[in-house]
Amino acid sequence: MGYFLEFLINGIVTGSVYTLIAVGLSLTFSIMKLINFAHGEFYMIGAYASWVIVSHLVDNWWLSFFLVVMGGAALGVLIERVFRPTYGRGLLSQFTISLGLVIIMQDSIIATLGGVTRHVQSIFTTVRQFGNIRITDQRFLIFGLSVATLTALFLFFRYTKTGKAMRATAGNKLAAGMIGIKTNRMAMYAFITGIALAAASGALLAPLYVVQPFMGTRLTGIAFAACVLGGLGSIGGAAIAGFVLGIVESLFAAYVSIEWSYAAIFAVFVAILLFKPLGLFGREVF
Amino acid sequence: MEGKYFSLKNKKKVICFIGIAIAPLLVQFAGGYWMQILMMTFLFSILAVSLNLILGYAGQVNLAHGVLFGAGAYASGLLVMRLGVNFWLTIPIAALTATAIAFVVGYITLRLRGTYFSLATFGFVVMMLAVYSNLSGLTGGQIGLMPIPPASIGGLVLGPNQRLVRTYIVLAFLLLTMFIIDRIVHSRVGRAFIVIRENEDLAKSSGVNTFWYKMLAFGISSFFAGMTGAIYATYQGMISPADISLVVFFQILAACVVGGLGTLIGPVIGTAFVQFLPEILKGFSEAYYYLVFGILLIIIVIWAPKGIMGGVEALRKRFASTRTAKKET
Amino acid sequence: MKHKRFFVVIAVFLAAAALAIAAGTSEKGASSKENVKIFKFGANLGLTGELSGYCTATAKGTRLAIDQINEAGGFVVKGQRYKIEYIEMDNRWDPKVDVANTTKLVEQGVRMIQYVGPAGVASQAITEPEKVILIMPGFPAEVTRPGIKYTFATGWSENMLGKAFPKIFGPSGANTLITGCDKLAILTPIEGMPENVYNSGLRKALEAKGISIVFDEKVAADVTDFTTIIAKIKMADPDALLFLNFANLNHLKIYPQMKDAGYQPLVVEVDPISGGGPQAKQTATAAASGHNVEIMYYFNSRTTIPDWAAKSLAFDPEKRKNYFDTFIPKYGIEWDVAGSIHGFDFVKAWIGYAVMGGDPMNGDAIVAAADTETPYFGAMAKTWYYKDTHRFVLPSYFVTHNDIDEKTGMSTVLLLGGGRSTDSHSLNIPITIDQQIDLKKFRAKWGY
Repeated sequence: MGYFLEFLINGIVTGSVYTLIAVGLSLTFSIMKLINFAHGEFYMIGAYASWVIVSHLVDNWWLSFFLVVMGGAALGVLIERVFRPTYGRGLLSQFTISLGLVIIMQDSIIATLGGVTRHVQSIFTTVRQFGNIRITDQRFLIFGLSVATLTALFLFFRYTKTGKAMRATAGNKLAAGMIGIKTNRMAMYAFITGIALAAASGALLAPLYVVQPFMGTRLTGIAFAACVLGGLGSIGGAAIAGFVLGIVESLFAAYVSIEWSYAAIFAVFVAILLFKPLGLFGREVF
Repeated sequence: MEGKYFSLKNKKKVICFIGIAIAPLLVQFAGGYWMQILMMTFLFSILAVSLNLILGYAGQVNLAHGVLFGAGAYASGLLVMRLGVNFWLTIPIAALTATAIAFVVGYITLRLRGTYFSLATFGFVVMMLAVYSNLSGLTGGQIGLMPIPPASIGGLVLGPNQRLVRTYIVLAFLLLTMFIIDRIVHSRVGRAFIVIRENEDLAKSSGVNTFWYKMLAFGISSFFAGMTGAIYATYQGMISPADISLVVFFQILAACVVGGLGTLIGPVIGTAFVQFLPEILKGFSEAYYYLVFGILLIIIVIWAPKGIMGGVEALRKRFASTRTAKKET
Repeated sequence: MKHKRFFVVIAVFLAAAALAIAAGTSEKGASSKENVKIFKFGANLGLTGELSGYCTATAKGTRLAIDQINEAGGFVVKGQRYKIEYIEMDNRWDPKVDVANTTKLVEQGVRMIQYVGPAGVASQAITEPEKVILIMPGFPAEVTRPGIKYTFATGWSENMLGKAFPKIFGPSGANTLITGCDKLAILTPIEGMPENVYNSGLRKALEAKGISIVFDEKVAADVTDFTTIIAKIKMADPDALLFLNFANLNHLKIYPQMKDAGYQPLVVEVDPISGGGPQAKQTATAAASGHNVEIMYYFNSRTTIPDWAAKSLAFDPEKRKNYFDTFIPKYGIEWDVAGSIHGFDFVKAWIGYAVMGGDPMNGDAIVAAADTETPYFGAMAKTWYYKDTHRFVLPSYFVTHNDIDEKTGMSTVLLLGGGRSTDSHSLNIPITIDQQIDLKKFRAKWGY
């Protein structure tokens, strides 16, 4: 059963992709309680930005990656301004605004760069072999970055002052405000980080996938599923759920059916919710 | 009881009613293209009004409304196309099919709360879309179910050129739906919905069986969604997953939010906004009209948090208070 | 009155709407100079959405053909000169918008519509009663069901591919283009055209030749990560993979991912690499070289056509050169994509039939001209139009990709064989084989 290991590893690598996106979403969601259905679009913008930079400006992937992360953060500041009037107004207003953002982001790309798919060449093309299993450096990079990000976030939230303040805001905004934490600013930091993470994922994944205006939609759905499965309010939960969903998808595709594998992710997700209505590590109702 | 309908408060309703009733006759002069848009606006208004029942009144963000509309469409389409059932008969069957599926989905998901519920319904959206796309032997797969023969009434075949008749038929269904939902909203059931929306825990502890009331809201809204699906399938002559994509659902949701949640006419105005505004913008810029539409959508939601109806209400209140102030001086 | 403000708001909204509607529907002054009539040609295409690449290319080919006709002074029928007015609409792959577009085009008086969209049957219900010619690339199959008079399609899916693919595969020793095929894997994208081809009895036809299908699955249109799928195919141990991938550029990632996985079976597929433009080629052929056999109805500007092909495939190199000499400078090499020739050929064909029919405003006359079974000689090659099925049957070329120009992204292809219908009744298209591929040798060489 040598293939099982191969499928499992594929699932873990795909899972690391889902985790990156889900953690970014969870940052915006858990701390800001903000439903941003446009999250996948930032991923798309990051991918396009990477393509534009690499093919028209600077032919250096690391530089383009850095620029995309910075650009993503800047975009995050702008978008946060857009959402700001709706704090406390309830999820539906934010949901609808995020739908408006989806339209704006997709259509801006189509209007300026055209709707045709684009291709970014990977520079990490070395393939490493482990027995029968071969993994490219690009995938290692993605997996490595996702683990590194999670570790960094974990350390940040546990040991830094700002991180602890953000956790406090996530836990109980009112109480946090009362002890002097600038909750709005914490929320803004979380949001910007989340968006930057999404954009960075886009840059990272562009060489692996195809760059087209609608590439974000599939991942948005999975990101939300991972956040909810992990438990709203728990960033670590979202991370674990990302891996779980990646593995489920891979194993289901391998042993049951490829065409139903996307739906299978969500079937498992709903099934788990039945036993754990607040997700794996969720604490309260949102 | 009778006097109430013609009192000052309801004059607004009557005038709106008359306005909507003659709209098709007026739009007729603008041509088939605008009649098509108007007809789709009425049809999607039914979806928005029914979604509003569970969304605006009961406060549950149900994302599965679109695929239940699809369930009704496929049910009706299959019956008419494969079994030759009379279209009018398939309408209640489609509505009940959607309701039945809604009860199953609701039974599983309504035990969850808030965002968990919403995302669980999203899970069902993905699963049902997969069913529509993958069971191609039954549903025609990604290509869809076609050709669905048109309905006929009397001896008249309701093909695509019978625009006026088709629009009035949809309008009739819209008014019927609005009437029924209005009655529900103003009944004990409707009040229970609102209480659940405002504070579900309080409602539960007061002895309200929140689970069954939420199921009822889910079921009723899905009933009308399925009914609309039957009409849509027959009018288009086909039904495919592209007709019930998430994009379509978001149009319905945006219509509710923009028009005004928790009001009866809000979703209709919101649908008119969502369907007509892009068309009007198309006249100004072929390339950027949808982009501008997205921007306007965001602006409206930010500036009019209670939607257009909310804005209208606020304007009225301000005008009324100025008037009172004037009276006093 | 208490409700005044409310009515003012409503009245302003209605007035604005009415004004916009009036503005939108006002007829642009029809040009009537010197006895030249206007012939309106419409296009309802998915310029944004799933098939945006193909549709945009189709639009450009359409425009080129119409511009050429107009620049030559228009077309003349029985002494009356006509110039073509082209009206293009984007349906965003939304069925509601699709139907509304067709309604508007028909209302504006177009006599022909170039159409690629999600609601073919619904649009057809509008064009048929008005006798407007609807031209489609060929799916769904229902659009040319018996009883339909004014809709025409290309027989690309079930007529061509459904029949051609089984022909080219054969077990060891068979005299087919691809021989030594005992076990075949089939991967079908969940999309209109691929499903059409699959449903045309493909599997049965292959099995009837003694080929066993060891893998038969469907993959969603938006999948770009094939690692698990590749491993699953490898597990099934086929001699080759038949990948029914049209125009879907997401799926081209399978080639570099197969290379990374160290598993590169022969992939037989439809024309997304050649049909996808330079970006597609860069994605696919960098890894594909020699690992795929593609069936296409179109040769890009870089491919040289060997003499045997020009003869047996009714190919005209001069015509082809003329096409590219005008298309590339105008639109760029990026749009040298399969859809462009489709758009170009169909405008020329149908204007041709309009002229033959004697009355371009009369749908019946045009259909009668098309029904005379005259072969159509397009920008490159001769195709046949089948009266019974209302479809053009395009020629099929089997190529393998050799090399890629890193700068332009254009690949050079090697023509392995091809086939075209030789008369207007038989769909039994004979395949000429120039080079055979023996899968046993191929497997040994590439170690799978």
